[in-house]
Amino acid sequence: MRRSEFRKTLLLIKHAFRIEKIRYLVWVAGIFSLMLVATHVNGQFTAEEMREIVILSTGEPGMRMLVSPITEEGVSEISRFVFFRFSFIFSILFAIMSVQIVTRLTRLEEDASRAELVATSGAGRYARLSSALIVAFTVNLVAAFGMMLGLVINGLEFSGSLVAGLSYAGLGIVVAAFSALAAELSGNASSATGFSAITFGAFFVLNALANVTGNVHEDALGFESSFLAWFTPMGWTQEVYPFDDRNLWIFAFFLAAFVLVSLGAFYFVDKRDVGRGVLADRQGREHAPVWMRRPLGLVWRLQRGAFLAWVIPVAFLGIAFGAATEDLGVNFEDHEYFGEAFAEAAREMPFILTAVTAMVVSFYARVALLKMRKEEASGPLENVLSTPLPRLRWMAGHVLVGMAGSVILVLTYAFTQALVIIESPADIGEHLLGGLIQAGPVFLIAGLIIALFGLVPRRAGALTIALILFFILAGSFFGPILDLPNAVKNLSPFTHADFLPENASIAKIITLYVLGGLFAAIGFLAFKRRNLSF
Amino acid sequence: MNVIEIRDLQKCYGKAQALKGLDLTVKKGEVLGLIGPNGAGKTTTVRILLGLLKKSSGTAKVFGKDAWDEAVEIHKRLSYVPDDVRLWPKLTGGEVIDFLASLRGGINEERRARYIERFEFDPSKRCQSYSKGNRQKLALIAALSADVDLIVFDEPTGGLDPLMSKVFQQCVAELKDEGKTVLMSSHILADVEKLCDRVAIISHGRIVETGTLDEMRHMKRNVVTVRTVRPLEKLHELEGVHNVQKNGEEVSFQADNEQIDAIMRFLTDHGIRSIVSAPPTLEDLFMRHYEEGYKKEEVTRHETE
Repeated sequence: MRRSEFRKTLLLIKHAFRIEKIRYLVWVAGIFSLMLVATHVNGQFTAEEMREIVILSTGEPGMRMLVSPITEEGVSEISRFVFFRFSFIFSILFAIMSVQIVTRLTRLEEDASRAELVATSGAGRYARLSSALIVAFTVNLVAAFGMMLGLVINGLEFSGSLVAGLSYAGLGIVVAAFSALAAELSGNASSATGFSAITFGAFFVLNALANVTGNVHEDALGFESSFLAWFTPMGWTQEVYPFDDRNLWIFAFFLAAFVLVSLGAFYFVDKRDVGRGVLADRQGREHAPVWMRRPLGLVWRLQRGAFLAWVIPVAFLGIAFGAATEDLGVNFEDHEYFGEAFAEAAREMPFILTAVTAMVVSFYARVALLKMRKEEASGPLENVLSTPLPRLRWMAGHVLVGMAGSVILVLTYAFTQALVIIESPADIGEHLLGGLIQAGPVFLIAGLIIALFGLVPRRAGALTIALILFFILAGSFFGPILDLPNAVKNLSPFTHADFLPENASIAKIITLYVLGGLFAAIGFLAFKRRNLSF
Repeated sequence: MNVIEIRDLQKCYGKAQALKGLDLTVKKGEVLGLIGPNGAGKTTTVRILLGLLKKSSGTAKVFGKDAWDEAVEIHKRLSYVPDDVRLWPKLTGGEVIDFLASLRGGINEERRARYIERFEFDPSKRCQSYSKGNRQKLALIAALSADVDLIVFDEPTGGLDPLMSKVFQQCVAELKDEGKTVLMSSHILADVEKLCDRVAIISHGRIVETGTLDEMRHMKRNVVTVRTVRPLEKLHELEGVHNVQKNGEEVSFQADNEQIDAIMRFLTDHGIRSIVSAPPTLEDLFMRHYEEGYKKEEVTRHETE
């Protein structure tokens, strides 16, 4: 690596902050406010209530996937308790933030051929990548301070709060380095994002397994992760214990991983051409197969990559989580206070996991449906719609794949999870029904995405991501943890899909699907009547 | 019969008015060139004709049908090559050609093969690896392979090298022979000059002039460069003489065609040694309209100030 190849890195950093400042501000402000609210709300619990919640979630292997380790002494302290419950969501937020920052500054720039412009204007070969990594590093640090502030305002101790914030920033920078590597390896922005998502998914699954196979303290007063935690940066974050041992040496792990993986990314910069990936470009077909010549066939050709990239991990997650929840509560059945509560919670657990999966699948709905916007703004839609193909028929193909695909994903999860759990084949119906219920909110969200695409195409990208994040946070899983007022929780469609099929109201579920259909219809009408917008 | 009929077409984007009452007709079998500077409204006009954008007011008809309401019917009989050809990065060129052709009602393998060969195009590569010129070739092949009555080209040769531009010109000439109608927007004057029966000059959202090149030249001034025995002292006083410039012994000026006879007599009286008179190139016509457009713009700007 010659130094001259880094020329103009500083300029690109400034440029990135100028263009993306609003996005970064929103991320930091969001992380700060979530920390502030979560700590405040959970601070209202009494020590005894915290203890009970910890016992209930720790006793179940399945539930341990979604919480973080906690020391026995810490179970009734808000500083530890809030991370026990929120570690999962903060890890995801820092990861998504880092993937987005790096992918936007590297691969997306390249896809838009702006990178070429920059590269020929005297910037060094490594400038783009190094600037993206430095920006990601900086924004992660600032977000860590935001987190610290949210804790300190709630009266928590300064140095512990700072270390807590930094431990998530540590995860963030490692994810950023992996996204940089993904950006170099793949052929365009969406497959770069896909690679990054799969990497983070692997971190998450390893961490979940580390927690499931962890060592539960006596009386289920918290737990420690197993050795598996050392294989995933999400586990490192959990091992820092900012308010107990404060293992500062773990930051060496984050930094080492960040540097090593980044070096890997730099290595591949030299191995490929601008605008291409390392893993791309074979010779292709000279003729389209007959199925691809039909509008729906082409839509499938364009959408199948994303669908397969989702359905395979989702199916595996179902099996993994099903296995983890299979003999739930067995250890604690005889517990004097909680025996019955465990049995109830154990029965509910797979349905809760299906709901969480459905929340994640709403991101698939967004990716699949906003493909339409991509075709319009930077794709060949202009050319396609100058043929006799009616606008609505073109749209129908993408809507079909987006809406049906989302429902199928949730059902796939429910199905593979059920395969592991159920004792008799007759029980599978109940799990599929559970899946169909949880797919309802996703269907409604899909409808909303279509409506926004029709009505406000230029703003659809930002609006849909904001809506989905809000619905997830206000929904059935996080809404109660955040102790949001009912009026806010009721705004999220997820709130209206009860976990257990026997508790669910059929009328409510049908309403979710009907509303989804109505919103989609609005989207169709709006698109039929509007200008294409480039 | 008019294939394209536009009357008093207006299009606003928010407050900005892109088209301010545009009139244009294209007759059957005609090759019409729509020329004008960037931002004059060429692409907007074309996109309204294709039903991709909605007009604000006025009439825009293709084959006698409303461009917005009956877009699908109209599209059965036309094909289109956009200015900026964007494709699906992961599909091969051949796959895209086949798909677009199938949407237009099926592929004519023989034509497809012929055009691929003429444009020296490799259909087995993925679209992300094509250059701008290659993407343009792909769109041209897809459009030309279809059996349609009207072809609309928006800046068709922007990315083509001179050799391929020539192939393109031959293709358009063949279309003309087959009796097809062509609308071509461009600011590459050489294409328009060679290919088009009629030219419409668009500026600031209006057609400022339209006609065959001959008609336009007829109205315009010749550029005359002359050497005479006696100095041409009173030349600038003559009617129909503009822009007199002396360059040593040589004098050049612009002459209105209506007055050419009187001007020639005047020159002969002074003893002509050599004379060159050239019709205005399209460039000359074009530049005049640009300049007038800019001037007008300035005037209105002053007025509003």
